[in-house]
Amino acid sequence: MQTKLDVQDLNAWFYQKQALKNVNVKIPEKMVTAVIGPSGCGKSTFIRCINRMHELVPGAKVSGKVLLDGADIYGTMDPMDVRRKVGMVFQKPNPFPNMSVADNVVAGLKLLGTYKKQELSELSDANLKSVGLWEEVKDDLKKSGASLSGGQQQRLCIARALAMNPEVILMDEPSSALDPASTAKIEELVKKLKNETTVIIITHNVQQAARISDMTAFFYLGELIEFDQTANIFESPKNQLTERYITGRFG
Amino acid sequence: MHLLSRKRKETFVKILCFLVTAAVIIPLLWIIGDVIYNGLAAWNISFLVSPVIQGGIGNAILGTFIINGMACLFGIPLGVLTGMYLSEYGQEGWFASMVRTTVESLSGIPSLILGLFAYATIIIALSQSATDRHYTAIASALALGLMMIPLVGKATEESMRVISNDIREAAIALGVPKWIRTTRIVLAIAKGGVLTGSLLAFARISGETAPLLFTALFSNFWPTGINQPMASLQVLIYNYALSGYPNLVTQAWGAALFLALIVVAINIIVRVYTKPKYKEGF
Amino acid sequence: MTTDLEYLNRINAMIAQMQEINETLGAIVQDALKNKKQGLRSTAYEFSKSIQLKEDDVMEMCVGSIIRYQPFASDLRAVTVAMKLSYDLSRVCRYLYNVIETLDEFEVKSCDVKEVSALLDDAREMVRQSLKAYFERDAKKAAEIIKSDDSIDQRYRMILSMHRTKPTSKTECILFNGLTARIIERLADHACYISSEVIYLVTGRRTDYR
Repeated sequence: MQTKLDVQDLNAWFYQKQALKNVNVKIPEKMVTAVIGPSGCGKSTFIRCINRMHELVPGAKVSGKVLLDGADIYGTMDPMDVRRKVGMVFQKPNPFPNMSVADNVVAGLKLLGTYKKQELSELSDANLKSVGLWEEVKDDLKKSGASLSGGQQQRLCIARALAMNPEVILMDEPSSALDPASTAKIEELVKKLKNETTVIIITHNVQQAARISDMTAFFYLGELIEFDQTANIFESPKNQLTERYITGRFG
Repeated sequence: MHLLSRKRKETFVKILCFLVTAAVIIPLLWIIGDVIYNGLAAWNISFLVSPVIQGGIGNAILGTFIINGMACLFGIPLGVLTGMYLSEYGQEGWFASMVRTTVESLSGIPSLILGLFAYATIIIALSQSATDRHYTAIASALALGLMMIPLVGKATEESMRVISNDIREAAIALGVPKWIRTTRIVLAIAKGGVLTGSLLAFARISGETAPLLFTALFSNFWPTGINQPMASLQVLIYNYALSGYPNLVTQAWGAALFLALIVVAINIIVRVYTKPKYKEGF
Repeated sequence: MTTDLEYLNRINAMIAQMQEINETLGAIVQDALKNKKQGLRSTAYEFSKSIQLKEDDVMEMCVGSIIRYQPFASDLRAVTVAMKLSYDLSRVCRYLYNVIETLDEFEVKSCDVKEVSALLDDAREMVRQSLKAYFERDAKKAAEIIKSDDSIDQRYRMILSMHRTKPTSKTECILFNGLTARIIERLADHACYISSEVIYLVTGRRTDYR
């Protein structure tokens, strides 16, 4: 099991409030790691520390190391470069409403680089195919990204993240706003994604974590309580808090 | 019984509202009707296309458009940049609050004062002596442009601010630098609001007379350059209406009709433009 | 995921009923063995059949609760353990029935059955205690039960060696005692399986007993 992300002594604050306390974890490569825990446990802060988005919030502070393939993203790396390597998909689908479906997929490349039109269009098609959206939208590529259904929008956002060819993809409850059929498609996609990239996914739905992840991390009050293979966590968690959370006794 | 009295109350309030609304609309319709009735009497092709010296208002129409155009060239970019700063960069800090206060004050300054400012900074500076003032349309454009800044700035800020943070986060997560994010995502999405605000600001300055009185002054001839005195519809109406000559008063009505049409046209354009855009949406 | 654990209570009530059937049949079998009664085959068969129906019920309830509640962690273990327990209990019943069958096959009037009778008592006690450990979620007690299986095995081998130690005994008696001891030894094994499930239920760790 190759380590993709090595998080060492990670602490995070919002002003005086400590949101993450001494988190140490090794996220394995090309696997799906689920992050679970009750609201306000630091899940979101944790993944936002991995693409350096936490620091954008007023009053935010971070200490510790996050090694991506051995290189500290809080070292000399430019935060913009970090975010290109570590993609993110959000709870609410957020395609750019001023761009067409096709342009949304390659928005990052288009805004950043000097790609030829032909290259962009090929990349757009390829990524729409890899998220299984191609068949559904191939006749509507010119329409606004905001005109798609919620589930389609979310897959469009995943395609947009994938188009950057990221090392890691972070997902913050990507299906919590979607209907069961769209959720199933997202889950299917997440399982497929791990062939190409490392996925870290926050979910409030413990069944979903059990279905799609290889590893599970349980956070409580800013601490990483337990990190283990998903099968172990859901069959025989070692910590009483984990046990109580996943059996629905609290949270 | 109780129900009936409640129904009566309802009817009473309805009628009251209708009467109050009518009281507001009637003077407006009266003014518009008056302007159309008296204005059309003055209108014919040569009236609209010949200069004042030949009994028309053509040079004043052109002058208004030139002055407004110059004001836009200066007021809109500054307004948009100010709005952009306030929405995306100036969330907190002393400088931002200073800018905010300045913009708000600017919108409260009477246009007469802005005209005086333009007069003091440009006309007096450019003049040889107190008896030989060099009046110029550029000074008018400065005064009107200053008026536009807070209008366009506010419109830009508002329409950028209402854009959900999710969109900004999406761009951040793609590693897009802030200035590209701000211009090519947020401003691009807000451009409808910016355009609307700019058009309304254009309509607003089209009615301003005070700043023009002692900057562009007036001219009876077709404009020959922007650094010259220049006729405008506003000043023409002002002069003619006060002249007391019946034929000039009629011409003032005609000019007023044209000015009113500009403003109404802009409002209609804005109305049509801001209609819901994504009809194909779910 | 649910805090409503009613389903576990219902499953446990079912398991308790299965054990009751085994207690009743066990007493009948012990009595038959001591008094060398024959002809109880059809009675015993009825018990065996009824416990199988209960086993099916428990399975159905367990599968249903997995579908409905998708239990995790200790709840999940409780459901899977209940499934295994119901199988083990139905096996225990089947072995008791086998003793009755064997009794019908042989002419045992003159045989000495004290040893196997004592063995049956102890094996039944093991089942009883392992169920107690289950209901009390007592892993320590379960571990002790598994340990006590060694003595059962030893006594089973002793009975098997009767043909050497008591060569004067009737062949039929040697055969009967050996067969019956073998059945009871298997029955005791299932008590141990139940105990190892109890350990898994409580600790989450599998013993490699089975």
